Amino acid sequence: MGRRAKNKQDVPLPFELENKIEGKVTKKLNDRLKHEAIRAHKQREAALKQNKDSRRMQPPASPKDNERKRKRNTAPKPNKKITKPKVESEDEEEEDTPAAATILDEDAPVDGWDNAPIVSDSDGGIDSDSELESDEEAESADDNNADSSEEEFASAEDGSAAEAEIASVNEDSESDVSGSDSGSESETVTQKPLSLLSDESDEAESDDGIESYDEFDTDAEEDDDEAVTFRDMEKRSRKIDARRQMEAEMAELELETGEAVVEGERELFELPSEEQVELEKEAPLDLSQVQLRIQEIIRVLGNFAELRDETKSRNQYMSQLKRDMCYYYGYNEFLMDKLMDLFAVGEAIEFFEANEVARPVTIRTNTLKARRRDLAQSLINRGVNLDPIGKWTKVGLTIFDSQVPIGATPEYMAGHYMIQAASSFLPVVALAPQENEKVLDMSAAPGGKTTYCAALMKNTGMVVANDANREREKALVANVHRLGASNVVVCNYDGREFPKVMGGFDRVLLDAPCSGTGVISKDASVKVNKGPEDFIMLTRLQKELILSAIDSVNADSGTGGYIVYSTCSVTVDEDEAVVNYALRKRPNIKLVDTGLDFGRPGFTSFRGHSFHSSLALTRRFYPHTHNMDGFFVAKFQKLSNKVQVSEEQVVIPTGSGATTKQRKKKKGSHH
Amino acid sequence: MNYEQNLRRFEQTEKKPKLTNRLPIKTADGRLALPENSDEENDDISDSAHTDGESSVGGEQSAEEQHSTLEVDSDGDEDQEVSTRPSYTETKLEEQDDYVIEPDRSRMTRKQYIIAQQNRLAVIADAIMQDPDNGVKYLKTLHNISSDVDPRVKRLGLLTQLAVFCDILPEYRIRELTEKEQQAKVTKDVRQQRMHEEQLVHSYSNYLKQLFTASKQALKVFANPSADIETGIVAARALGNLINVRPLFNFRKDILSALVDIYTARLAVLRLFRDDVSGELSQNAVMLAAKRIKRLSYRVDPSALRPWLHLRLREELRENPEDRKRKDEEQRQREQPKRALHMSKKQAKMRKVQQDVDKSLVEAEAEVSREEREKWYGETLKQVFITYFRILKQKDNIGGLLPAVLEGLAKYAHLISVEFFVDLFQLLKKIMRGQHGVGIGAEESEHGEDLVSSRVGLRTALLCILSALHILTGQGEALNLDIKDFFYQLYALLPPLAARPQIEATQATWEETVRSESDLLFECLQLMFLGRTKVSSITRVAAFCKRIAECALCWPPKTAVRAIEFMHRLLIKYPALDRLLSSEEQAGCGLYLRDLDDPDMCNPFATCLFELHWLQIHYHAGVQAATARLLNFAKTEQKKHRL
Amino acid sequence: MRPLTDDETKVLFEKLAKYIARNIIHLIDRPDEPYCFRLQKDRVYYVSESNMRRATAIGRKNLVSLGICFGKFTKTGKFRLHITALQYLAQYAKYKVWIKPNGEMPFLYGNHVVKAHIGRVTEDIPEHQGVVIYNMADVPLGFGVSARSTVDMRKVDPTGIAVFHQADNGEYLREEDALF
Repeated sequence: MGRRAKNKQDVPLPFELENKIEGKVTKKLNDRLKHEAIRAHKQREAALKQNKDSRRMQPPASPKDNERKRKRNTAPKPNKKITKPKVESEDEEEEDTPAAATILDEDAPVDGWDNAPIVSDSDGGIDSDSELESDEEAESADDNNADSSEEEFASAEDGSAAEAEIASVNEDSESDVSGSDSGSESETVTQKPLSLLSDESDEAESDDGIESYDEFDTDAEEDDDEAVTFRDMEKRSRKIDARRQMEAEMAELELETGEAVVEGERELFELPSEEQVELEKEAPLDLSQVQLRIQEIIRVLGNFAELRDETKSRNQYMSQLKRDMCYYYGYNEFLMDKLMDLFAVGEAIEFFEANEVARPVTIRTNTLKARRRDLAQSLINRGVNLDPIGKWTKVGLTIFDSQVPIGATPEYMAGHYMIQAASSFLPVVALAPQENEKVLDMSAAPGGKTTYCAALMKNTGMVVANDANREREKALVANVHRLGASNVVVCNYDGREFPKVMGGFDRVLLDAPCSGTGVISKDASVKVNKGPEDFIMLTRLQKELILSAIDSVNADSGTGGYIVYSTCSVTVDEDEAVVNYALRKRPNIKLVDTGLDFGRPGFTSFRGHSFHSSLALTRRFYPHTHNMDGFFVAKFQKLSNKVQVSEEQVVIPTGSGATTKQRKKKKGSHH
Repeated sequence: MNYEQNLRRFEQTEKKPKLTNRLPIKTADGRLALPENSDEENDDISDSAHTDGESSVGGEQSAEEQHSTLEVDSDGDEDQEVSTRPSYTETKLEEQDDYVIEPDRSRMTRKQYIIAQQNRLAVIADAIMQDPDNGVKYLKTLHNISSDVDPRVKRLGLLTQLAVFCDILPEYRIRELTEKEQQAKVTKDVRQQRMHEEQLVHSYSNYLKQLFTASKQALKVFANPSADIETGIVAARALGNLINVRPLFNFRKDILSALVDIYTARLAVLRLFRDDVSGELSQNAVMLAAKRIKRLSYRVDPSALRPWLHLRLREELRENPEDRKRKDEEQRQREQPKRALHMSKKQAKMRKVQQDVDKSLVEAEAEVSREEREKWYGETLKQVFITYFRILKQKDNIGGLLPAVLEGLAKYAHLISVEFFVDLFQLLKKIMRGQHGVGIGAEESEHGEDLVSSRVGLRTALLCILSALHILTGQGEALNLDIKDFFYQLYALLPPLAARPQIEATQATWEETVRSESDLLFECLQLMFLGRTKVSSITRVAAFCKRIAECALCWPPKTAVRAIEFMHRLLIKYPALDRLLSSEEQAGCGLYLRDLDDPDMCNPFATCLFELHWLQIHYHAGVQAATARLLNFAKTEQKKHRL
Repeated sequence: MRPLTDDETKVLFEKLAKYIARNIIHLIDRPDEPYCFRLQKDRVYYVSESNMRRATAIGRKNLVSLGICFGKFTKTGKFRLHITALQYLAQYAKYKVWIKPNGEMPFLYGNHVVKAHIGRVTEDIPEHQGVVIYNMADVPLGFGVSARSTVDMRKVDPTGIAVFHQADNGEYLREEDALF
């Protein structure tokens, strides 16, 4: 991340300057040269501006910038390293620009920049904003995410670095710390085939420049002033006044409408036509462009009535947006559709952004062997930086950074804790197994939830840990032994074979195999390898499993009769739909409160499907709202062991382990 | 008889009307008074005896009062009668010479006779005391009186002699005159003094012989039932007093041996030990006692060993800081090279004079030097321990002596040399478990797994543990002795102690107050857990803490308060125990094995100290207050932790 | 799953007795529930009787683990204790050895314990006796066999081996496959 940027050599000076300069090119020198370039730019710009002045007013860019900044700040933090290469590239830019107009042409992107001139300008503008914002965000991100582990960044790093490389080549519209971008941008723009956009973008850029980095702009202006003659003075001052007035009006408008109005680009955003789309599909795109486009479309969709292009339907906007997002984030279309259906557009971005970043490492204290207090103390003594996760758990700790590998401390080896995601605590907390109960964990590997159950039960009763995958069972058994859970019996069945194998459990935990859309941050391959057939298969499996789980529970158990169904996926197909199916197929169950007081309630209706109203008792968790993996938890209570399928038929689900107590007990439901 | 109506009268104030045949007489005042007469025939002599007796009542009184504390109670009545005699007149000494004459026994009743003798004794005693130099001749008379047949008279005589001797004996030892000195020409005064001394010594020895015979006879009470025990007791007490009052006088060895033979004069011996500076006497006493005990095959009363607890061994053999300072100084002086300080002649002379003066000062102060003390006390210690060990090794009939021995061990254990420790430990362990007794062979001791055996008393077990701990805290730290067994034993003792209502009972005897079991228990706990070294296993501490809390519910208030305070101190010293105070964060699995007598394995962290809540509503305010303090402390501690 | 035969029980108990001597009775006769030993595929599992009875419903091929695995019988009939039994050995151990902090990591890597690393020992450990090894915070780290008796240990120089390594906690990471 930062490492790369630091070690990076400064981009060599352009050919012309290299000859002029002898000796080492230090940063100071670079800066000086940059500054000179800025000055030259400003002069040229001033000249151009005088021409443009007559034509139109300069719309202020402040509201737009503010809006963008606001939007960006709510989204999860992007990689900070995105900025640094760009900084380098900035330098590169500045060197390039004073040389000659030709070089500016060389700045033109290798890829389809010329093919989409319209977009590029505004993209440039958007990009500049985004760069601005990303810079600022990156700074704040530095503060907050100081402790993300390296590995998680590795892959993202590659991606974004590549992104950055591409972006850097394109950057001629960077408004950077140097703040001279406005000049260069406008320069570039004017060189290109003029379009309606150019003026605006150009002004927008300059406005950007003025808005964000006033000091540099004033410098630039002062420089300009020096260069400019007295004759221009008057015009300049008029221009400034006009600008200010415009800003004031825009601000008023903004207050009224409550929405950021960007006059400059309202009508100017256009969806790419079909040919453009086709072309884009083949050739690799500029990611920053894409991002800008995404931002734009979101903005348009946010205020669709006013900002839309009359010719295009909402669907077209949406589809373009989806395409862009697939490209930008790396998802396949099917999954993108599914996920986009879940969120509002703005939130979707946050969700996707959150999936790019890893969640912090969390551990769970094994209360069979240690107390959280003592464990925290001994880990701190080893140089680990940690904190309790939150008020909702008494056994969880987040690890911010560590001098020793967390998975290899003596305390780990002694079984005092287990590395477990915070979201995995939730189903067990909801299940709340009591002492001396019989609990079934249908899909137990690698054993975090099983051992948590055993710890809550204080090694009494019995926990049956089942997993269909023999290979993963090894890890399960290892964890069970390491943590000292002596009441666990591990078996290897397909979950659907319960309750034939054994039934009459007090509680059942089903952490169903799922598509994993909630843990994309851990496993990015989910983005691409899930297709509709996967979903069909998975949902069918989940439905069968949940029925088996329900049938394995003994409703007449004194303390229990609960089933918890959870998945690490956020799609409605696997969550609410399955729960609803269970409610339909087994009238002897009902949903109860999970006992988790945070998390969003599940959907009671979705895209035309309506679910049972009690679905509101289920809970959904998202990475961008709760800082844990995407998760879904539902808790059922079984009311009676008999299922009335129809009025005549009374079906008693078979369970070889059904206790005699069950049979002897009278009909009717307790609880 | 109407019980209520009849007035009851004190015996004393009852004035029997005295029938008299005589006519009333006119006293010197002019008052008419009935002549008092005794109920005896011979009025004259008795009268005269009386009137004279009155005169010396004062002297007698004082003599009597001197040994009022020692008198056997049977004497009391008559003494009182005599002493309540209303008046006495002064008489001169010369008149009393008449009463050196023996009253005629045959012509008096016993009572009269006793009184007569009393008078005589009183007179003589007075005479002697007033003029010791001349009065020594009267000692013989006393002696004769004391050899009277009548036991009471004998006792009185002995007591009088005691009083007299106590007063007239000098503090120093009168040694035999050598031949040379006898022949040397001396002044009259000196010669007279020598004579006096000789006589004194002579009579003293006679007296002592009397005492010895009396006491020895008393000892033979088993063989000879008619022997005079009381006289013997009186004689013993007299001996004791003598040794206390004049420890340095002659014959003390003999006295000591006699005393030791009797060994009933505990108080005397105690005082002796306490006041003994040089240690020589203690050593003598102890050695004699040891021999005697051995002779008797240890069938002695435990109180025989009690005095040893008062030996000044602890203080004496411990290095006094002043002594050490002195030693260091001396060493330094020796090591220092003799710097030739140039002193003028005058100064040198002065210094020499000064040194001489110092030396004589030291002599004058008669300070017993450290070495001498060490020597004597070392000997004493050796004797003491030999006895203890012999007693301990006795397998039969040690029951009574054991507590005394153990207490002694507990007190002096740190003075034993290190080699004995291991053996001693083994022995203590065996005793503790009750495996050390009659008829316990090897097989039984294997099966006797029960830690708390009914054969051994709680007190004994506690004392064993205490001795072991004292040994350890002294020098035993050098050895890595594992006192795990003692921990287990104490842990196992806690429940029976909880059920023991007399836990606070202290036996207050006239010599000392024997420590109560409560005291012993807390001393053990103190040494075990609150000593300098931290106990290795926190599980053990927790187990003890839990059990003590349980027991505190059953104990009487004082012990309960001590228990709570002990727990408070434990919590301060071992902060890891706060797991016991929180019922939520329970790490670990399994149950708390309440009945298991093994502190390491009972899994105490699976439980918490819920007894504290019951103690908060205890009927005793002190217990409530102590518990409140403890809980407050716990709360503040918990607030410190944020996790 | 089947119960142990008498011979197997004997071998097992002898091995356990090396470490916990007479306290084996506490393993079986627990106050909360009786526990028992069962054999499944040469591995001995320690499990409560009620759980064991319920687990009989699980087929032989499907049963992977029951309770806590103590170790396995080798082909030659000897019994090898695994690190997973440490929890119970530590609870009832007769002879304990505490090692200093600087000696913890070498032991956890699988090396023998040298005298210099020893902090404390229980008294009178005979030679070649099973000992349980703790760190100074009383956390059990593993178990081993004493090289010499306590008395002899005083004469050995500090780099001499005090306890032979048998099993340590690091095996959970190093030898995951071998254990399960």
